Amino acid sequence: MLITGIVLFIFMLSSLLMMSNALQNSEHFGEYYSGLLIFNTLGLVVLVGLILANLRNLIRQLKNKVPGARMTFRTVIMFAFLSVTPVLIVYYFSLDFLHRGIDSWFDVKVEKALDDSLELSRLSLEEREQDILKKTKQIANDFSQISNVAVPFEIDDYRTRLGARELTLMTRQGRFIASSTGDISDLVPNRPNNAILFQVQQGNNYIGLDTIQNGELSIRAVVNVPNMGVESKHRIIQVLFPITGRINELANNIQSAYIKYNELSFLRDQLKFGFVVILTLVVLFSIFSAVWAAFYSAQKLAAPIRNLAEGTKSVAEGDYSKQLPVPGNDELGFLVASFNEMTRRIANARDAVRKSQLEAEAQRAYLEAVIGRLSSGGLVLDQDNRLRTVNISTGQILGTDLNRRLGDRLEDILADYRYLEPLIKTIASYQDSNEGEWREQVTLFGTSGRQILMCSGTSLSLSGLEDSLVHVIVFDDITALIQGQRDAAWSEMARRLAHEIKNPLTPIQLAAERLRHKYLDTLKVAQPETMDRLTNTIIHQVETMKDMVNTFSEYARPPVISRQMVDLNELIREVVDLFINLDPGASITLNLSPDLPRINADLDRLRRVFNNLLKNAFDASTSEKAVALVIETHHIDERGRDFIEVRIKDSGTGLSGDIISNVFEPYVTSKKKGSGLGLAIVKKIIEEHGGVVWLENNPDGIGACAVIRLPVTEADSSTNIGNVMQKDVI
Amino acid sequence: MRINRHSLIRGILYCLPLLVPVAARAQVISVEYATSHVNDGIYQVDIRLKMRLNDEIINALKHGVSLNIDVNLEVRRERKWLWNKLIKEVTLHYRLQHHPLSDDFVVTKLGSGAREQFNNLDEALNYIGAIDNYPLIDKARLSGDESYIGLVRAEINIESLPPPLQPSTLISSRWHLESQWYEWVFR
Repeated sequence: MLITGIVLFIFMLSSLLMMSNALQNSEHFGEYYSGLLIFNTLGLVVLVGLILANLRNLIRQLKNKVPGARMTFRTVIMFAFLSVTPVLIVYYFSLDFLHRGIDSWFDVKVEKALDDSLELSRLSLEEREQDILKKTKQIANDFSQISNVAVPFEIDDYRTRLGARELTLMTRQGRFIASSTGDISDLVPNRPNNAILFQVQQGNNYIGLDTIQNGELSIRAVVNVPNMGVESKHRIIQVLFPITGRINELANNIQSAYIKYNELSFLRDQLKFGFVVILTLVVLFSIFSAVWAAFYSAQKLAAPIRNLAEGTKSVAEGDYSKQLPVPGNDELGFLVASFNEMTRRIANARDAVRKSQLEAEAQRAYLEAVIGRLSSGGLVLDQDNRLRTVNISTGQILGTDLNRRLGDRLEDILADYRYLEPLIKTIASYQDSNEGEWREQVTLFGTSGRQILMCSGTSLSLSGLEDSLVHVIVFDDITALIQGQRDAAWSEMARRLAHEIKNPLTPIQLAAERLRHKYLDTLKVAQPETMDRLTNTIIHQVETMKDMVNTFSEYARPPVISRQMVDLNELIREVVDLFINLDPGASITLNLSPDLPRINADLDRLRRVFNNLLKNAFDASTSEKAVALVIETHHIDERGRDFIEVRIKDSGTGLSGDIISNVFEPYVTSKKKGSGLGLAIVKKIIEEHGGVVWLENNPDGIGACAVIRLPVTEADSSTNIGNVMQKDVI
Repeated sequence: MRINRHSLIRGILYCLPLLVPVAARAQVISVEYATSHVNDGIYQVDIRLKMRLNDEIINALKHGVSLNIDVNLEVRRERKWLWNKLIKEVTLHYRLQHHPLSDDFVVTKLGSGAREQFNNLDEALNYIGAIDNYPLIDKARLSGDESYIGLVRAEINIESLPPPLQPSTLISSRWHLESQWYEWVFR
């Protein structure tokens, strides 16, 4: 478009110059004048076409509200106004000057003077012509006396005397007879044309101005030679007189000036019209070029602004990759370059933020994975005591899914999970005291029994966050660990005790029997009785001690379990029957679940468990009231853990708070009788089966309840029991 | 047949309704006859043109405007299926001027520079219109087996008019004087 415009501009400008030149001097480009006129007209049409096309584009852009269109429009209007107005003013005055100027060329006086000078030239030449005609006639008369044969000898002399350039004698038909010339370059004599010959043939003489000889004026006289002399044929003579020197020059000047002036005068209106046409073409060309240039400039000017608008829109829509072409080194170019730099920096910053976000997310995911796989429970609380983070192990340790309570305050959680009270209170106390790091052992009494948790906590200040202070609490269930340590200690002690005690018992018993046997009969009356009673006491007490030692040994013995599929309901009924027989007045209520699955367990050991527990319950209930027991079995499937729960409720006095936590340890008992190992053995056997057992006071305040939970395992998965147990403990 | 630049421009302008019909101009310049004969191995042509100028042109001539008259000659070989092939093309240029000092009309042959002077316009035009024995083409260039035609036309050369006059010639038909093409057969 630009190149087309520039080429057209150059061509039109050149052709206008050529036209102007042709108008002033037809020798230059005169023959192309019409073509140039047509070309310029067509060029103007093309320019108008270009302008209209631009205008249509601009109107379309205005309608579509393209950025920069209004600015382009205003600039075009301004440019057009600024360029058209002075051009039109100049055009108006130029037209006026043109008319006046051309009219002033032609003056009546000048015209008259030229006419007069031409007339003067003519008169002057005519006078000379008459003189020459007269002389020529005389020579013609002379020639009438000279024969054609003699003429060549005379003719030079006549010409010289006459002062003519050329003297020729010829027939009336124009055939040369003799000729004399003063110019040796003229090889052939000049022949009058047919019209002159015709005139002479009619008997008339000819005298005239000849303009055809080398640009010089000459006077041609053609006269009939009188036909009364020696030659009978009609002859004529022609004389050419040169008009030489100053007269020739002046006459030529006058003639050419006259011709030029006459031509210009004749063409005055056409000349004006021609100039007006050129001036109009120039004006239109200037206006159209200016308007077209205005369009082009305005578009060039608006282009970076349009780009900027589009770029800003892109940035607003979040596309920071937009880079605009820099238009140049001016202020606009600087602005666009700054815009590019800005978007580049924003894009870099965004990429950096995104990268660090991804890194943070990856770090977070990594940490979550690590924390999730930790065997320790972990909680994070914010300043308002709200739960922010809980890991998987927390749910497993506390037996509840706290993930559902994220965002709840600890107090609200406590309302729903009362058994978490020791833990929550401990945490709250440290939060209130604002201690940095803390570590404390907490004991919970949950549905799964007593739990000892080793808690440690700390306050962390996270920079950059509003609620920056958070509390992190990590805890481990060390119940099994402590229990294991205690059990191991007890087992060791029992084993050593049994070993140490058992050895002297047999000699004591043998010694007592021997003493009795040897000295019973030798004693006097009444003494043997005493002897018998004392030795019996020794022997019985030794027996009792042996039993006790055996019990100890059994407690310390490593578990050798003989598993089989056991129906717990049946086992319970069997044991209950035994006790009913022992105490027919007792009331034992059985609420046994009919769909209880069989479990893989050691029948004898479980029987012992129930024996011990029932015995315990009977012992606890031996007061004024009759024994009233309730035995329940349930099949519970809780959070994917499938187990059987057996509850044995007695109607005794219940357990005091300090005993209830240690009742399963050896030698912890509220009874006056007993080894204190019954419940310890129960616990040991239950744990060997991967279960848990605990005692709790009944909610109605009457008696206590022994709760056993045994996992339901497949018959062939006995080898995995250890693992399962461990998993449950953790 | 022959298209030159000026014809093209004029062709465009003929579309304008300002122009009078072509037939009105046909009588002003015409070719009365043209014939060829062999002389010394060269085809020579004799042409007679009849020219009559209108008052506007005569007025311009008498006011110093010189008039260029072109006589276009062509030799073409006749072809059956295609247009006739151009063998030779010649243009004779004449310039007609008025001489105010002598009140004569001067004809200049622009090719040779020869000038002739005439008392009146008709004589000058007759001089231009009488072309005798003009050597057009060597006989040797024309094959005996083919047939050839000669074409002649005369016109006033508008492009040589003074530029101020040219715009008016574009819109006025009075300056467009040209004859029809006259055709003869070479024998």
